[in-house]
Amino acid sequence: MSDLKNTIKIFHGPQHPGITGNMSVELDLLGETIKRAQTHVGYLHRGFEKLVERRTVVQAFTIVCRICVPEPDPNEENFARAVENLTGLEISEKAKYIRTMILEMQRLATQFLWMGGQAGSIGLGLIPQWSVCDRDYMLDLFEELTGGRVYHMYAFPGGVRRDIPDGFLDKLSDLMNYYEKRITVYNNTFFDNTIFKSRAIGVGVVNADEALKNGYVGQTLRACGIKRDVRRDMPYLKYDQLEFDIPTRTEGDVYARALVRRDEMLQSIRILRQIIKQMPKDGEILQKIPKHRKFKLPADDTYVQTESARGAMSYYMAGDGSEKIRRMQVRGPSLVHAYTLLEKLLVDSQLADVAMTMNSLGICPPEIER
Amino acid sequence: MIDLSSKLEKLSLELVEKNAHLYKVTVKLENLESILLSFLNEFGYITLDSINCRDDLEEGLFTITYCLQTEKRDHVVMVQTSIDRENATLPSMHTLWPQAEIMEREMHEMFGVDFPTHPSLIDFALEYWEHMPPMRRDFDTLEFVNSMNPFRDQRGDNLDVKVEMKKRREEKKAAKLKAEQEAAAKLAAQEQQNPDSEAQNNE
Repeated sequence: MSDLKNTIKIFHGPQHPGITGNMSVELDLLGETIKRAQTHVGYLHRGFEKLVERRTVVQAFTIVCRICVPEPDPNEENFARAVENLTGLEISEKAKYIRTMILEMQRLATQFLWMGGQAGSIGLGLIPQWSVCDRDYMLDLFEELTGGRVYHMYAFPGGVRRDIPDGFLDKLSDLMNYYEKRITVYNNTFFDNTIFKSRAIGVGVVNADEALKNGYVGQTLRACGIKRDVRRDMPYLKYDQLEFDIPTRTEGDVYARALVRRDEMLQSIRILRQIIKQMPKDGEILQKIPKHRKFKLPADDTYVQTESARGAMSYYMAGDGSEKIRRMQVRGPSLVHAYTLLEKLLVDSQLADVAMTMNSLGICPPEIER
Repeated sequence: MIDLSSKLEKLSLELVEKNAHLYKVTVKLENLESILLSFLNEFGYITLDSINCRDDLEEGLFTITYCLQTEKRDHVVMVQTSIDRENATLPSMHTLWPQAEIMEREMHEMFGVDFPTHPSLIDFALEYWEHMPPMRRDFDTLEFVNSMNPFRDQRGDNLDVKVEMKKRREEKKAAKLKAEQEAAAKLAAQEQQNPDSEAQNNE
């Protein structure tokens, strides 16, 4: 505490570049060096977990996608799979393929949004303009498939709500070709950019032992050499039948996390191309739920995990034999990353690196306080 | 998992397989700390994924679930225990898994579970909260909102929905009846006029 004598205190946030949502970090600064960091949330507490307890499955289904604004689909998937686990609902092959497809589409859309935030946080203004535009092409396809651009409400317990429109897979295939070319452009302008490299290399370093012990997930884990991915370790949907690699790096810094994300985008394109080829033409898309408005969950509990674009996202769900959900608890990547990790990483780093470090950890404030 | 099952059998615990990647073991509160320590140091569950709290109001209990993973992260073991709802106290696990600190802080704020060995149970998302912990199921959100945010007289939202709906239905019914009566009166007036017009036509 003696170090904090001559410090000044500033609040970084609740509004700041690169983060999709509001949270603040209380910083004690000595010059521009951070001596202490403390995360504060509470600006976005909407009480989703409480709301869900008073609703039926059908009513709660429309809420869960809003838990994380830039990435609603892993929430939908977790919710649907938790209900299916509790009730023993089986979904068709086609529905599994469609759900895998939308999860990978979401992964790409989220990474484009991340790229904008990451580049914006170090003053590279061109990249956000490009990447938000490129993300919009994916949102167009989401709109065609689900009816919604950002929130989809598509993966329903028992399958998906709508079938794939005619010509959709061709459009998706064209977009993958376009994205592949664009990633080369982003390589030249962003990932190989001298400014980005000089700012990001050696900043926010996480070591492997700490990452495993503290429960870090996603790129934070994989950028320090640990090959962990829920899609491979606990396969769900069709991931066990699709070929893909899990990109890793060993440096553990902001730059390594960015490169892992870039490589994951290429893997998502690879997965989507396989899905386009393997997608069954016929098949049921939604299992009929008896009395779906009064659909009862058994008195049991379950725990499901989905690999979101930012790391493993888990749901605990319990029923009590009634139509209402007794308890649904969300554990996204952000909680531990924003508290246990960020508060530690920021100490002795520079004020100018705060936004960049936050962004590289994939923190989504709405998900922390739900 | 056969290995873990046999190890737990020695501790007189049963490992229940829920699916290929999910297992559950129920323990007594007095054994919780020692069993979690065994999971970390002997069984290799080095990652705490989450701590979940469920309010079983009818039974007067909180059901606490620790979700643990090994280094491989290829399955989850749920270690579950129950605590008394009225005197909800748990030992803090932050010395075993650092991330437990923030999870316990959240649980303290949202459910009112006390952690006597926790380093700092400061506010998480709610600032200066003095009411019942909001995630308890007997927390009345409607009453809380009405007590904290009184309706303003100038606005028309200080109304009882049921009374207003009844009033609207009655007004609608009265309007419909009035319209029918007016239509009937108009028709009667036309019929009175019609014989004259018919007579005029005949002439």
